[in-house]
Amino acid sequence: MYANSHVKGLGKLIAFTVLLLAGCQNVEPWERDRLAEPAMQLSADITGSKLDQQVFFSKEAASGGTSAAGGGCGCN
Amino acid sequence: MAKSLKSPLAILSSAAMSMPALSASQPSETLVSVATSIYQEGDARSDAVAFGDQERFEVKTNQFYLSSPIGRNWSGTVSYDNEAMSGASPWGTIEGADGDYQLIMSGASIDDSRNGVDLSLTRHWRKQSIGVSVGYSGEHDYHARSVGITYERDFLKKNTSLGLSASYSTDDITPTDAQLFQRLDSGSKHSRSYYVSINQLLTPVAMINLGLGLTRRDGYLSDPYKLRDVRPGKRLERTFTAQYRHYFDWQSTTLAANYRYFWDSYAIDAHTGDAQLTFGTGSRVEWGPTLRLYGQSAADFYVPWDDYGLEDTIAQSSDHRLSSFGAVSLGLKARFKMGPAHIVARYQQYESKKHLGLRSKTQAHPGLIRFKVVSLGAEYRF
Amino acid sequence: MQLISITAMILLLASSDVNAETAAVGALAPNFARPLLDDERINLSLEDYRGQVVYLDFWASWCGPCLIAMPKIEALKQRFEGSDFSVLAINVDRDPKRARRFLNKVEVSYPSVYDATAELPKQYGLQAMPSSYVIDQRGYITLVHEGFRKGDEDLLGAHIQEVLNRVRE
Repeated sequence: MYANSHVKGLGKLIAFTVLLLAGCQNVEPWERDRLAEPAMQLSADITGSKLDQQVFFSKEAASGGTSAAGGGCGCN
Repeated sequence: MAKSLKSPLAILSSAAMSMPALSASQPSETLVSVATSIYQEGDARSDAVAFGDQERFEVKTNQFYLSSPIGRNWSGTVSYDNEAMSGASPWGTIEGADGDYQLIMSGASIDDSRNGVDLSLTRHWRKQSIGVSVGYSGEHDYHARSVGITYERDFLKKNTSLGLSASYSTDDITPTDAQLFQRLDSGSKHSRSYYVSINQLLTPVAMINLGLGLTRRDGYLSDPYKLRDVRPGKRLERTFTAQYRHYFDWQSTTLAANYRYFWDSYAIDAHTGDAQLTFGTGSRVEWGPTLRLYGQSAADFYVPWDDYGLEDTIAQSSDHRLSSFGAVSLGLKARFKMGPAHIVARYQQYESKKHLGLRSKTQAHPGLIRFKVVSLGAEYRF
Repeated sequence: MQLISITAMILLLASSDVNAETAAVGALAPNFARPLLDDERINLSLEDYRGQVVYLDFWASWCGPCLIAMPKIEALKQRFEGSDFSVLAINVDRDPKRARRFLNKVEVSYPSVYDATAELPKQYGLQAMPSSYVIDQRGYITLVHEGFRKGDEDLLGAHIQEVLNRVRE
């Protein structure tokens, strides 16, 4: 099925990406005022996101892309 | 002499209660959120319906969500959703007189409700956290149970965060009127999902999150309510996502731009892009437009009209959701803050567009939908 | 082999945290002089507090846990009223007006100075917001405290009492 080569390749990609991103500008903890705004968070509107996910999942073939993978429905 | 100390949370309307994005830190406040929404599909065109009710789907949803720190090192979330569905649904398609194809709609209205509960518990350390979650979702003919685990690790003073999660779910379907319509008696499917993400602070005003997901589904994956719908018993889905956030001083504007590429073993490819602007970030009223673009290719076993003469083992489906199509969605969102209490209102309008579909070979499926969603919610933080 | 190189890369990344310079426990607290938020004409310096146990708190108006901590820090100050204990807060907002607006609504009796250039967080090697430091009577750091969670005021109170007791011995 999924040969170890896929897992190793993925692991290398992740490690490489992490290191690459780590080379980015360092944002100090006291410089994060704007990043800390609720509207800037990935979890800005959890309720709204869940509703959207449910709606789009039941009307389109694509799904996922977030860590929340559970909660099926008889909708597609 | 002790001076009176008002709770800082009660006074503040714009303090950032949670530190940036994905991180292992314990949340510092409790959040309660409730919302109610109505989803309404546009009726199918009369010339597109060969038989059955034109009236399409409507869903009323109520949501409850609670998130809270627990003690010094833990946090938890509880969510409950209730959906009440009604309306007709396509059973299949047949070739029409002019060579185009038409829908066969279910006769009676589907009246059903779904209840879902999700719980999670997380243990936090200085730079990492581990969480477990369980979920249940049920309709009278459908039950799903899931468990999941999540690990998060912060690096470099949280400039970089890594997230890993895995989940497993089991879904059972027992179609109604199975005898009457010669449907499957019962079927089940199992899904295993894995997800890895990296969150990176780029500048004091920009942040990105990259993710890769993999889901394996096994079991009965067909739609028992369609007249002829046979799908492969295994499906492998992959996703790549990029989520970007940028803050602009002009009008205190936040840009949230997301992209997802989906590709699976049904030969479906899909691109999803959405962007949201929020004006007045941090002030009493935050509002702004949303835009979403979607395009998918057809499943390799998709057919425009059902061939009822095919053997049961050959994969085939005329479900519009497996056809090549795209969609544009426009919306508006507003948040009104009164100290720790917020009101959130959202409107969205979705329109399927055949020409946005990828590698499309056939005509537009008559079942392509348009819908509107209106929702209203309230949040309280303390 | 590949697994080893992946692991090595992740460990390298994780270890980079350890090397970050921070004003550690046992080090002499960097001295400074900064203007008061409430009155720019008055400068406060850490040296003014020599002989006292000092609770130095870095905060900002956009930092939730910083704000939750404020009444608890005020309570600490009240608890040790009469002892050689003082609280000094350093605000690192980019715009001091926001900090002043906040202080007008939340009454605390300890002074806040303003660090316009954000040099102090760097000198103190701040790893997170909020961060606070307990400094003993001779000017040495005895505790570095990150974040502010439920029950921290008890932990801090116990530590401050212990430092105060050391002099008497």
